[in-house]
Amino acid sequence: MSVALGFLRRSGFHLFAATVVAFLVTPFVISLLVSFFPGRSIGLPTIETGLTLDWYGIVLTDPLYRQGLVNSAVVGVLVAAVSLTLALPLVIGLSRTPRLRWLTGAIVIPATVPTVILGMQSLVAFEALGIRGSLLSIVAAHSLWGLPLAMLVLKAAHDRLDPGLLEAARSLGAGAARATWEVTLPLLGPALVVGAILAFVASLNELVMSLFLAGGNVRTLPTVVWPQVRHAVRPDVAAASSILLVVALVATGLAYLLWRGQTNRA
Amino acid sequence: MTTASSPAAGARRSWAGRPAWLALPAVLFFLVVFVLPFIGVGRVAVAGDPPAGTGTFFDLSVFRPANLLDVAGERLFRSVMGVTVRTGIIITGVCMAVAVPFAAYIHTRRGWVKAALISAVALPKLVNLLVLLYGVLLTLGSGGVINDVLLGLGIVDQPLRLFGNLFAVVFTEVLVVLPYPVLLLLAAFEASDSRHFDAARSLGAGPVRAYLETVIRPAWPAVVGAAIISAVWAVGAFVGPLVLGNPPYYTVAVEVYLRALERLQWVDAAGWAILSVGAFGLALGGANLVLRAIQRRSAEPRGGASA
Repeated sequence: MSVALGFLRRSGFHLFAATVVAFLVTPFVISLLVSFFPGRSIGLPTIETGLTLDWYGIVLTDPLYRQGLVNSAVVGVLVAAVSLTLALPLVIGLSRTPRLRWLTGAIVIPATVPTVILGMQSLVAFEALGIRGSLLSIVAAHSLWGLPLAMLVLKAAHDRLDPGLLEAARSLGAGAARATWEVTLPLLGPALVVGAILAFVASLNELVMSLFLAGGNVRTLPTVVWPQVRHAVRPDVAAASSILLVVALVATGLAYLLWRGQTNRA
Repeated sequence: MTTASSPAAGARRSWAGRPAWLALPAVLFFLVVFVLPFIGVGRVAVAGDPPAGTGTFFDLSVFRPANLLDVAGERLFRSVMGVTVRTGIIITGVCMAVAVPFAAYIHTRRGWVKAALISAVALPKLVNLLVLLYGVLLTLGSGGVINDVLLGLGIVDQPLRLFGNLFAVVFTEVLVVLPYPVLLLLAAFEASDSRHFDAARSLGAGPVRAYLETVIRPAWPAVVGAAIISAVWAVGAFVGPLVLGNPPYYTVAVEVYLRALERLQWVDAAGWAILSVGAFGLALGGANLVLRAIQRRSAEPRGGASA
């Protein structure tokens, strides 16, 4: 009896987990499949209908989509650069100044604020500065998410570094800046790339702040796709969404491999 | 122990030892792009409406704190706050009901299965919200997967209307929020000592009881923390209510968006934003204090302050 109950309990647990995984994964799989559907309406491809890459061709040749994709890529790269440029000195500074450790928590606050609030405050500030709708405004707003991500990754990697290596460099006569340049930075190399990739992916995926700030020629791909998701469901939107999905997954996979390399080395 | 050979060397060592200035660029960025704009929204919330034909969105020459009282007194504001809180509670409840057992399930797996489960959980956070929204629209639509299955099995004759209602809003937002509590709880469960579980088993406890007592009970502060984080995201719900809900399910975030970008009523939008942040900040700050009190109590040695 207890063996049967145990079996039922285990089966129920597996079934529950399988349902949760299906819930999490199904929307993405369907979105991907629809992008290969050859009809002009929405549907799932079958053996009879076959597959098509036409919707990807449309997305990659349509000027609006292409401009959105290029803008997203440019903004993402700039956000990654800004986030690293701010996060690296911050992490090194905090590691040597214990009384400023509270800054770690402060820098993470924007990542916990509802994005509509971040969008609203960016809208007001950048309108007042006269740069709303510019590349600069979107990069600055997205970096509110990029900076905490880059900081947390770099901090985790920096905390694992052997302090003896830096001390050895200093005892051999290197100044603080040279020791950091020659010892700390090379050891943090993979973490720098991971931080940059995560900041890039966060920017690529950001929608709400971009809605508040995008305008004129500076529209990211999510803001191009947004009106169509709200008002019409078409297969080309599935293709555009799938491009974002694939880019984000490839970038995150790369980040994971690099991070594993970094932790194995430490 | 070394001594400074000259004031210059001392100054250099002090620079090298505590280079707090390295944090300055990030702090300035934080102040300029986050703190000052938030104060700016507060200022706009008490500004005047722009004179007609000026092409501006607010009049900063006016200082009218009563704007906030006007917004707080609006019946619509109170009603939308109620919807936001109700929806937030439902989303948080569903997330926690799924997250605790699912995190426990992942914790008890090994190897590639565990890696695959963690990837599946992280998926909604790794991809664009639009991909998720689009997938949900296709899943819940009248010709979507759920209706196809129900019609195919003969359970229903007509496609069910699965969106434009609370179910669709909760479905979407749980997908958005769920990764946070699951990953946070998983991290807490991973910190448990497996020898405690083995000891409980050897003392006669069944696997479920042993797991509850040695893994989930010690992780109680993390459970509360996961609930607070879920609630923070749930009350900020935006895309689910806007795209898959209807006006009766619109949250404060949706109303701020509509006022700011579609009706161009920035003063009103800023008022809604400031009041909602204040209200939810107080509520969640209070919850955080409770969490800290629980953590302090659980850190105290059993048997009270007899030491």
